[in-house]
Amino acid sequence: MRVTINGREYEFGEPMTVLDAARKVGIYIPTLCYHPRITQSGSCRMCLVEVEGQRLLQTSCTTYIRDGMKIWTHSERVKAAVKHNLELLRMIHPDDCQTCEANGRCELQDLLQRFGVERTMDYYGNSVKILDESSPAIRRDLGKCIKCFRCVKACEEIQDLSVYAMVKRGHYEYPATAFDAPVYSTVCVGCGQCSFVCPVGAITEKPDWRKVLELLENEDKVVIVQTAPATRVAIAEEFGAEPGTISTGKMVAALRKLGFDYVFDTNFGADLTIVEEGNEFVRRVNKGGPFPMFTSCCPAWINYAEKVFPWVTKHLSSARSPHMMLGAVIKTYFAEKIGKNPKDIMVVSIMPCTAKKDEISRDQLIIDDWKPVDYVLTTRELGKLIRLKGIPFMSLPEEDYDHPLGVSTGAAAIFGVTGGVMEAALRTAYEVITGETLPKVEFDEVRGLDGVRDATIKIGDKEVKIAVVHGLKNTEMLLKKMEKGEAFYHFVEVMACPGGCIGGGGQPKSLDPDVIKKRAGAIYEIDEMMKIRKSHENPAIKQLYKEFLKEPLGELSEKLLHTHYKDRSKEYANLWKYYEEGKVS
Amino acid sequence: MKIKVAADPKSVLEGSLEIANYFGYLSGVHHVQVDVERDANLGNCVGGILVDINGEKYKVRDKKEAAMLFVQGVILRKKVKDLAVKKVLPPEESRITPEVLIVKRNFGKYRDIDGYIFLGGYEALKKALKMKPEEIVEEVKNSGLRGRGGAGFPTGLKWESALKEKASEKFVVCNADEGEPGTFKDRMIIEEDPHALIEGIAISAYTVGANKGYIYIRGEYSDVAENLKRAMEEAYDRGFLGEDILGSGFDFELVLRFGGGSYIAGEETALLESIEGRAARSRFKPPYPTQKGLFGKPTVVNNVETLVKVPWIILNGAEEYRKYGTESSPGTKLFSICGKANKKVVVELPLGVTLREIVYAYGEGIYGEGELAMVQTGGKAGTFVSKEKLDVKLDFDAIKEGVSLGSGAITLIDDKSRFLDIALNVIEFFEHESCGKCVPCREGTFLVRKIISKMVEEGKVDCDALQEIERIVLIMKDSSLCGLGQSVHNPIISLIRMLERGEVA
Amino acid sequence: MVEEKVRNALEKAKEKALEEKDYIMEVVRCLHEQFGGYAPPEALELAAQFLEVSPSKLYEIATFYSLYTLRKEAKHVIRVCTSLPCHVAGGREIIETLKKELNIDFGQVTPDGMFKLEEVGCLGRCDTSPNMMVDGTLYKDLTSEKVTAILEAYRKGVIE
Repeated sequence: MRVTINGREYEFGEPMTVLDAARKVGIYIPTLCYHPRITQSGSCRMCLVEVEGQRLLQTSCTTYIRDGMKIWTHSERVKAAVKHNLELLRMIHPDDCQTCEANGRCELQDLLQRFGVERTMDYYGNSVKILDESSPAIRRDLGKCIKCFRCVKACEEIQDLSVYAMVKRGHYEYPATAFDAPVYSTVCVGCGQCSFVCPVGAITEKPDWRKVLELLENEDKVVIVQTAPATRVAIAEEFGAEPGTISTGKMVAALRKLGFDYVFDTNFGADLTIVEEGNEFVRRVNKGGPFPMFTSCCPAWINYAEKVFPWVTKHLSSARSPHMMLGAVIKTYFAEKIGKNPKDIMVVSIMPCTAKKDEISRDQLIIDDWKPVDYVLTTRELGKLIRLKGIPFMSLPEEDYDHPLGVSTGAAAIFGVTGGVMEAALRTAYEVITGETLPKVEFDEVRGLDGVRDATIKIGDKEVKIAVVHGLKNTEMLLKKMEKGEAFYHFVEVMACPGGCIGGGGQPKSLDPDVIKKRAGAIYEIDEMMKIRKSHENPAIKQLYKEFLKEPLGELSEKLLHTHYKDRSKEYANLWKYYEEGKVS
Repeated sequence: MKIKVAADPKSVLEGSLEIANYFGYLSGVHHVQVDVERDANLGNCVGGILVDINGEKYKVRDKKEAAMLFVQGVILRKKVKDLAVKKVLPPEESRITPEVLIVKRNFGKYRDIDGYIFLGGYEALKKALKMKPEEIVEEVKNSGLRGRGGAGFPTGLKWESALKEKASEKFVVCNADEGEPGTFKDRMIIEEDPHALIEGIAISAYTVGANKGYIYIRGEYSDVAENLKRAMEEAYDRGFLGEDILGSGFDFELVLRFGGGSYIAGEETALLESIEGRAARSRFKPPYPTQKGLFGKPTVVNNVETLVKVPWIILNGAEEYRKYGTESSPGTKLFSICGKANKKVVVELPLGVTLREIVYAYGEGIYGEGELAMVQTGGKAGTFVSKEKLDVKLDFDAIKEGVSLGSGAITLIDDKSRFLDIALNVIEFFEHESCGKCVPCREGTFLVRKIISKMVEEGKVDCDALQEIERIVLIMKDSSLCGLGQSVHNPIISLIRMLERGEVA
Repeated sequence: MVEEKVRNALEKAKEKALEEKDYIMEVVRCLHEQFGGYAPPEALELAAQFLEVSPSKLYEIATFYSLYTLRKEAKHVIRVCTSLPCHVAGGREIIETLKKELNIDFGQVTPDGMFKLEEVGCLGRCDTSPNMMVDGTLYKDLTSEKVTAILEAYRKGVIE
C-alpha cells in the first residue's frame, strides 16, 4: 500500500491504523485516549488528521490506511482543532500539577506544553470532585478526570470487572463506581490497571512514598527494602530508557543512595515460595489432591478468588506471596543475625503492583503482633523518589544486593512474567518427584503471551495437567470452563495483570504496544544469565532451612510462610446503600 | 359579515392564508362574528394580499394593515381608503405542489390488519419473498431512495453492503427514536399505518438476510407504541412475522425496544449501544453498522419513513417512485410543520418543493399577532432560514445553500423571538443531549452554553463572544465523533448570520 | 418485596429477548413500571446480580437516560417540553407559569413533595404544542390557564 503522509510517499506492507503507520515512519501524532492495552474509543480527538476526500478530520487511531491515501498530520486545520480540544480540557482540569501524583508523567501536561495551550478560557472544573481514598491500592481524584474512558475500558476489557461506568452525560459525566460506592467496597481487586492507563492523575496508586521518605529520614529504625522480579526490567523506563532495559545493579545502588540500610531481593522470597509451594504441590500429588491447585502470589488474583469465585479459595496454595515470605524471614531470621527485634525493623517492598499495598493490610498475614511488610511502593513511586532525591539513576555504578537474602536463582527471576511461577515450580517439582536432573530447564509450553496456555507435562510416570492464565477476563473464562467440567487441571497459575507482574498496575506508564513483550524478554534474559536456575538449589535457601526453618511445610514455615483465605463474596454486595440521596439525579 | 381573502396560488405563496387565519384570530380577540372565506377566484393584486369586505377590495401588506382593516372595515364598518385597491388582477393558475400520498397512502383508512390487507397490505412482502434479495436491492437502488432520518444515505447501497457481508447472523433495526425537535412524522406513521412499517421491516430483513429485528422507539412514545404492539401481534398471528413467513422458509423475529429519553440514541451507532444495554454513546465509524453493528454483527438501521416507502416501491416500481422529486433526491418527504404555524401538520411532498410552499400553502403562516421572522428546517440540528430565502428548493442538496433538510421538521418562528432567547434554547438542548463521549462536543456545548448564558444575564450581545462561539462550533463540526457535534454549527452559525443581517434582534 | 418486583421486571423484559444481552434497557424500564416511576438502587443492584452484569452498568443506564431515575422524589413528575417548536408557540409562558405556580426551578421538587419539574427536549407532539407530560399523561395545546387548572386537579386529587 502506498500512502502519502505530509506530501511524502511511504510503502506499507500490512493493514494498520494511520496512527501506527505515522509512528512507524517517525511522524508524531498526539494521543490522549488511545492506549494499546485497550480497544480505542476515539473520544479525545487529539490524533486528528486530514485525509484527502474526507469532509471532516479523522481520528488516526481508528482510521485504517488505504492504498493511495493522502494524509496530513499537522496542517493548520489539524493543529487548530487539537489545540482547541486541549483548551477545552484545560477548562475542566485543575492547575495543581506541582503536587499531583502524575506530575511529570501526565499525558495532558505534555500535550498542553507541546501545543503551548495557555489558560485562555475560564476554569470551570469538573462537575464532580470525588476523592476516593477508600482503597489501600488506588486513589481516585475525579476532579482531575478528563473522561477519556480508559479506566472504564481497562476494567471491563482486561479484567471483566467493570468496576467503573461512565455515568450521566455530556460535561457532567464521570467514571463512577456502582452507586458511587467507595471503590474498596466494590468488586475491585486493586490490580491498578486503571491507574496504569489513566493519562492524568485522576486514578493513581495510593501514594505511600512520602511516608517512606519520612521513614528514611528517621534514624531509629532499621529500614530494609526488597525489590520484586519485575521492577528491575522496568524502573529504567522512568528515566527514559527503552522498555526491557535490565537495571538491577543501578536500582540497588539507587536504593542504597536513598538510605535503605539493607537491600534484599524479593527473588529470594520467590525461591522460597517455590520450595514451599512446590512441596505443597508434591504433597497434593502424593495424596491425590485436592486439585486443581492455584498459585497464590498475585494479590489481585487472591482478591478476585475470594470475592468472585469463593470455591477457588479452598484450592489456592497456602503459600504466602514472595515478598511476604521475605518480610517474615527478614524480621525473624535476619533480625536475629543483626541482633534486632521484629519491631525494630521496617520492611519496604518495591513492587510492580498496586494490589500489594492492599495485601499487606490483610489481617491473616500478621505474625504475632507485627506485619512482615510495612510499606509497598510501586515501581512508579520508586522512580519518583529517586527523581525527587536528585539521584542520577542512569549513570549510577551497578551494585549487588546484600547477603544473604539477596541471593536468588533464574527460577525466581521469571516470577515476573506470566507462566514464570509455573515454570519455576515445575523445575523444582520435577526434580523433587523424580529425583532426577531436568534434561532441559526451559518449559516452552508455558511461555508466551496468549491469554490462556495449557499443557500436559510428564513428570516421571505422572502426567500433570497445567494451565497458565493472565488477565482476569481470561481467568473468568477458564474458571467457568472448569466449573462446567469442560477443563481439568492439576495446577493453575493465575496472574491478574496482562503479561503477569511485568504488566502490573504499578509499573511505569507506557504507550509502547510491545512493552510487555520487551519486559518479558528481559526477564528471560536474566534467567539465562543466572548460574543457578532452580529454586531448590539456591544456597542461601538451603542455608535458611538448615539454620532456621528446618523443613518445607514444617511448623515454622507454616507460621511464617503460609496463610489462609476466606469467602468474601458477600462483602461487596449492598453497594446501593452508598447511594446518597440527592447526589445524582 | 363576510371577509373574502384571495386564495389563488400567487396570493397563497405571499401569505394570504396567514392573513385569512389572522382575521379569524382577530374575530376571536374582538368577539366579532365574522365569516372568513378563502376565495381562489377573487384574483390578486400587486404588492399585497387582496381582501374583499362587502364587495370592497383592499390590499394588505402585513398584519398591522390587516388589523387596521379589521377594526375600520369590519368592526366600524367603514370604508378604508388607505388600503383600497384600484386594480385587481385575475387569479393565477396552479403552481403549488400538491401532496403525493405514498407514505400517507393508508392514513386514516384502516383500524386493523384486515383493513390493511383489504387495502393491498402485505402484497409487497409476498412479492418480495418471491424475488431474489439482489433484485430487491436493485429495485431500491434504482428508486434512489435515501434515508429519511436526516443523513440521507442511499438505502439500496446500505442494504447491498449488508447483503454482501458474510455472517452467521444479521440484524435489521428500525429507528423510531424520533427525537429531533419539531419532528413528529414517524409518530404519525406508527399511529396511522403501523402495518406498512412492519411490512417494510420484514422486506428489509429478507433482503439483507436478517432473521432478527428490533424496532427502537423512543420512551416518550410509549402510548403510541401500544398501537404498534397490537399491529405486531396481528402480523405474528397472520404469519407475516415469525417462522416460515408465508411458506417462504424465511424466519423473522421482530421485537420492540424502548429508548430511555436520549436524543443521541437516534444516531444509529448510539442506538445500537442502547439496545446492547449501555448508555447511548456513538461509536466511531468505520466500521459501519452494515459491517459491524449490533453485537458485532452486520446490521441495517433504517428510519421509519424510509421503511414505509419500501412496500410501495416494491409494488409500484422504482421508476414510478422516481417520477416524484428531483434527480438527486427522488421521491417524497414527510414534512412536519410546527412552531408558531397556523397549521401544525405532517404533509407529504415531492422533494424539491419550496420552503415557501410549505410555510404559506401548508403551514398557512404564523399564528396570531407576529410576523414570520425565520424558519428552522431539519430539526434542532438544522439551519435557521430567513424569510428572504423561502424560495429555496428543499432536497438533499439544499444544504449547499445553507438550508438543511434533515428530518423534515419545519419550525416557524415569529418576530417575537429574540436572538439570545433562541440561541440559548438551542445550545441548552445540545448541552443536555451531548452524550459526553468526545471532547469537542462534550465540553464545547457546555462552553458555548456558558458564553450565551452570560450574554443573556447581561442582556446584550457581545460580538467578540459571538466570534468565539463560531470558532468553537466550527472546530466542533470538524473534529466531533458523531453527527451531533458535527451539526451544532448549523443552527448556531445560521442564527448568528441572521443577527448580523438584522433579521433577528 | 423488592426481590419479587425485580423478578417480575426481569421476567417481563426477558419475554421479548432475541439475544442474551439485548434486554438490559428493558429491565430498567420494567423496573420503573414495577416501582411506580423509578428504579431504586437496591433493585438495580439485584437486577444486575440476576443479569450477571456489573451493577455499575445499570447505574450508567439509570443515570444516562433522562426518563430514568433512581429516586421517587415527588408524587408527580412534570416533564415540560422546552424545545423550540413549543418554545415559540407559547411554551415560554407555560414554563413561566409552571415555575411560578410551583415556585420551583427545573430539577427541583415542591416542598410538599407533590411535583417535580423536569425539562424535556422534545416530546414529539409538536402538532399540539405547547405540551407537557405529567407522569405518563400528555397534556397538549397548553395555555397558562390550562396549566393552572391541571395542577389544581392534581393537587386536589381529581387526577391521581
